[in-house]
Amino acid sequence: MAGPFIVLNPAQESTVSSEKTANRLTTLDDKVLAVVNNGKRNSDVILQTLLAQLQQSYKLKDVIWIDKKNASLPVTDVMLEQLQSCHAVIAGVGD
Amino acid sequence: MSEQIALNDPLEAMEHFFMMGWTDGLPVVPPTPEKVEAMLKEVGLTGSEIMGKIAERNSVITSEKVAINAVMAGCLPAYMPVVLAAVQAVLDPAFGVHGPTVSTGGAATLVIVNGPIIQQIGLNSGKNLMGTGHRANLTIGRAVRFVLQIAGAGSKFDQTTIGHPGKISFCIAEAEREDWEPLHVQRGFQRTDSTVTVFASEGPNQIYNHVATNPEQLLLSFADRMTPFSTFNMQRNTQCVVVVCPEHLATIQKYGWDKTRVQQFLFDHARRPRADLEKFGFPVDSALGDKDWITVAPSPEDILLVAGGGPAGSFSSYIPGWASKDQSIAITKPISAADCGDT
Repeated sequence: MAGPFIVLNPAQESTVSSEKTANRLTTLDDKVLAVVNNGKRNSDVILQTLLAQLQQSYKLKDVIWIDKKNASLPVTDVMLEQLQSCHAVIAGVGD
Repeated sequence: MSEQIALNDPLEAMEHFFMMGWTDGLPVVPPTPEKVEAMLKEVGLTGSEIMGKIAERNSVITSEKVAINAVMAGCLPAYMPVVLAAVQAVLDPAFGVHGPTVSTGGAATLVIVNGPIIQQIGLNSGKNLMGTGHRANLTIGRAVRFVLQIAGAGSKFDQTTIGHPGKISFCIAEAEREDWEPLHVQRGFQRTDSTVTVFASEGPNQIYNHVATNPEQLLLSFADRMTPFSTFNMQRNTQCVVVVCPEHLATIQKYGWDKTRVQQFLFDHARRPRADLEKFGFPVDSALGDKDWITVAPSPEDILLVAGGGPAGSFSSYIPGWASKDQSIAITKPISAADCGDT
């Protein structure tokens, strides 16, 4: 019997990333909250409802509402810059 | 360099790939280092070149991963330039690859090949065009799919509701002729160039008309087939592909119609009253404005016409698109692998 039969991994392999999970918040009081509406039908309805409930429970410092042009494409660099000033982000799909 | 996996033999390798989900449900050719090296050698690449990225998945596609997946799909090294060009096309941001490969809408990636490469590697443009029996077509289409689903991690995200068999492999060559402008020439290339055009496609619809004796009769039946309400094309600004079979093309050309005239005729007639659409409860995309008629595509040029299919039989094909032009458009790239990729 010859040696082992070698094949190559076809999938994306884990890479070392400089990214890390954001710090978890203990409260939304006095925080800036961003809401990303991906543009799916009724996603704005769901997100508005969720936002209204959060505003009843917490004293948000500010809310930034972002509308994506369409759901299938990534957020733009401009939107990413806006999100960097926020303490928390909600993104949702309204299918 | 990709991870090396030690197994006992090719059959065990095939079973291992099934277990890992590195397949479309059919057996794959085990990607040995020697076979992968032969793929890369064919296109003069080292394996480290970055062919593109899928931002939504944090995926980076290297030439080595393309080569590995091409081997698995059953490609010969000679097919590698086509696979590479198609991968570069789907990774063009305007194709928006994440959407059509994971959407509930279940699109496939249609690969249309033009130019001398068709003859050079034996791609089929004739009988059984979208069917079985031709290694180059089947394995190139399958390789593109593998790259997106395995190397590009798409299988983790694919939420397709129904889909269609083109999601396994969907690659055709145009039956180019001197008296008909081929797709790539219409899109800015020379006849002597070889190209791939990728298109996010729903399932193909056969157009059956054995009786029409002039272009108007024939193309009205095309237009009828192209305008069911329940497609993206009738609800959004969406491109589509029409494959014209030789018998239908003969009827069209007998009366001196060229490609542009056919596109214009289809654009003028493949439409339905907006009121009908709304009567059925279909939402009309706001991007369509307040027009009284809803047309299959936003312009004549967005109806991509391709010649192909077997010499006998009057069966053409209409291939609707996925979503809208805001989300994905057809992309054409030249096949010239030697200078592709970034290191």
